[in-house]
Amino acid sequence: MAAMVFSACGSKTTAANAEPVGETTVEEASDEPVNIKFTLWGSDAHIALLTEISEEYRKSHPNVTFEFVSIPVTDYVSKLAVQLAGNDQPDMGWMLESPALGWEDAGALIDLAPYLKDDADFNLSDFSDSSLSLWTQGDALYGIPFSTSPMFIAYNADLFEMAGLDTPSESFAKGEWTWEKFAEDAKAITDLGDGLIGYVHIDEVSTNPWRLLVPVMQAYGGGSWNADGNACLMSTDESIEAATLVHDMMYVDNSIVKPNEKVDFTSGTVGMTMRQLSWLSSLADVTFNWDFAPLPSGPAGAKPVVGQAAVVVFNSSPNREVAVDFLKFLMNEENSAKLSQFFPQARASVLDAGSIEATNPTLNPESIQTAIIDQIKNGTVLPSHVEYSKIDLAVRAELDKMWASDADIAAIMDAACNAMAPYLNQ
Amino acid sequence: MMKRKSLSQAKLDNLAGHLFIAPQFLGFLLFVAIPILAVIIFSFQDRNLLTGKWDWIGFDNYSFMFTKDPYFYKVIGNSLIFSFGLIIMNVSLALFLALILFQNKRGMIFFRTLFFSPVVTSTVAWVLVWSFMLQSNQGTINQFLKTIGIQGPNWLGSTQWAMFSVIFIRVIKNVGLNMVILIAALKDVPHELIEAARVDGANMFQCVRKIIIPLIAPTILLVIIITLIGSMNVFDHIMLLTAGGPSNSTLVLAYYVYYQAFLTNEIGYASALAVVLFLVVLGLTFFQWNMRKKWVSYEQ
Repeated sequence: MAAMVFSACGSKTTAANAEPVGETTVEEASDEPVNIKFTLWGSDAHIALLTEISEEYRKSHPNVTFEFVSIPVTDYVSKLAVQLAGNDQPDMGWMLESPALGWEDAGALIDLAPYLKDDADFNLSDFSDSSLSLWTQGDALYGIPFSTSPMFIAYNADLFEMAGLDTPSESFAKGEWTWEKFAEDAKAITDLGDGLIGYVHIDEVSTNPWRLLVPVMQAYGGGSWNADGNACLMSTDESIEAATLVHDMMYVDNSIVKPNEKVDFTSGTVGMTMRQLSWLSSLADVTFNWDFAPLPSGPAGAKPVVGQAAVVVFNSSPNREVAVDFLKFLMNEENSAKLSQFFPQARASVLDAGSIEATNPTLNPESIQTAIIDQIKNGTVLPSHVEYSKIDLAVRAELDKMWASDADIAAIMDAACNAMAPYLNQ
Repeated sequence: MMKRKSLSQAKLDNLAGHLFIAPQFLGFLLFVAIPILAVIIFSFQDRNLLTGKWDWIGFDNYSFMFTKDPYFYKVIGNSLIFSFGLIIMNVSLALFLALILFQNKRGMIFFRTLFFSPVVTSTVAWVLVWSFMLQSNQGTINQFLKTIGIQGPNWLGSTQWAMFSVIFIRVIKNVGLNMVILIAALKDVPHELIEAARVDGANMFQCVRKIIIPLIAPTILLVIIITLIGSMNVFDHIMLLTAGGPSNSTLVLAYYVYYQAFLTNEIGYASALAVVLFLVVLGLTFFQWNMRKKWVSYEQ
């Protein structure tokens, strides 16, 4: 706050678009000491890997030092914004998918295209267009994804056996893995009684309804909003049908853990959950058999959904040239392969089951291929929008009404579209 | 000569006094006065935290707040409901506990400690435990209600119960502090007044209503003002329990300031909301202070 106060009294500037003072190029900096501040929300293991890669970089750039600063993911974006306002900004760091468009639109990230497009060593064409779409605006490129991680269904194989059901992997292999089958399986497991329940969502349904509804709506041919971000899709028949399926599972079949209920998949009492690769390590000590399968398909076919995060360079960095140079090193083919032990990579050359399998030997290789590798190629990222925060508050207030047994789904989805309309039209 | 010496001694005393308060004054200036001034300046700007862009826009933020913001009046209403609900529940319960526990009887220290312990408990841990207890199916509260044939509601997920639940959780967390303040006041009530009233035939309820409450009225007023200020600034319980939901039924002013400042990055508008929050608290406190002549018949 104090930093903001002092900056408040400064001159009227456009910090994001202002030319950085005392900018350092790689050539100029060859002798001058440069410290790169890199923010992330990762664990100690992530920082250790980044440190290892940065030490490698320092062999050819001994004047560059690195400071890796970890910020909890829940506070990440707000703390970054405050640092930016207080002139205590990092040079580069990780960026989440949901606020990405807002940061790009605000001019807070530098355009990497001039540095990367013609760099044969970096080989930008190794990334598919779909993997870069969130970070691309026209000809500009604002981030390089270091994690392109598909959502999948992790399941308790013992409960499926107990209910006499094919596992989701078996249903997928037979071409029968649909959201209807998912709902039937969840009900069958719930009907076993004894406190068992079919499905628990990745996070609190009421505070983040998008992550539950979007994959189902997209598989039904609907969605949250269109690709241009100017038309709501939640009141379409397809989206309503999808939301009705979720609602019926929750209040007719009682097969989804309800809002504000605390049930953990690792307890062994839950049939399925929607997760990503990095979470699977938390299953190391469970006593039941488990595996994972792709998201079910719907009437519109298979619509994989990926969570994505990218490395970006902040526009206000005085060391942008050095930061970009390190970004190129960090995300080159060799280091992308190293990162793949934690995060599925969007680079085609390192996108194979072997790289994930090598560092996650307990995972089923077939599941890695079907539920991760194959999905990355066709997956779309979760919805993002320049006005995401405003849309989220407005729509969540309407979707909260869905978490009641007598909810009128069509009216709620209509109201959700009305609530987001002022922000979509901007 | 003597006069000059004493003057110089007075100056030295004066200087020493100023030096003693200098650290506190500097701290106040840097961390309270200047930030408050900055918030007031920001409130007249269209200022975005992310872009760093800002423009002077006069009273546009305030005009938008009162005429166009779809949430503002809902937020003000929620904040007032939260504050009045909290004050009534907290002060009544604190007074009730203080009246029972102020006597020096066996076991009283244990119960005072018991009711005070949530005050020194981490808010995050407190909220986490309560969010488990208030689950609609598995929660301890509803499991208990089930045993006596009552189907408990989804406490934090229902628009009818979420605000009450948050107020209740905060009351239990902080009631111990008000209880201790009121116990201290009750210790000052002359025991002979109570005894005289009892000799004249007054029952305990009459003693409390006619003697004790009037005598500790200044402390009750203090407790109400402290609770009011705390309630209007409530953020942590809302953030951790409901994030303003369901359907914005617990969206209060302090949380809305946070939302505008750090989720939409509209720091100028958030500052205008913060100024309104400051004025609301100031106004309500001023009102209570001025009404003390009516409510408080005895001041030391």
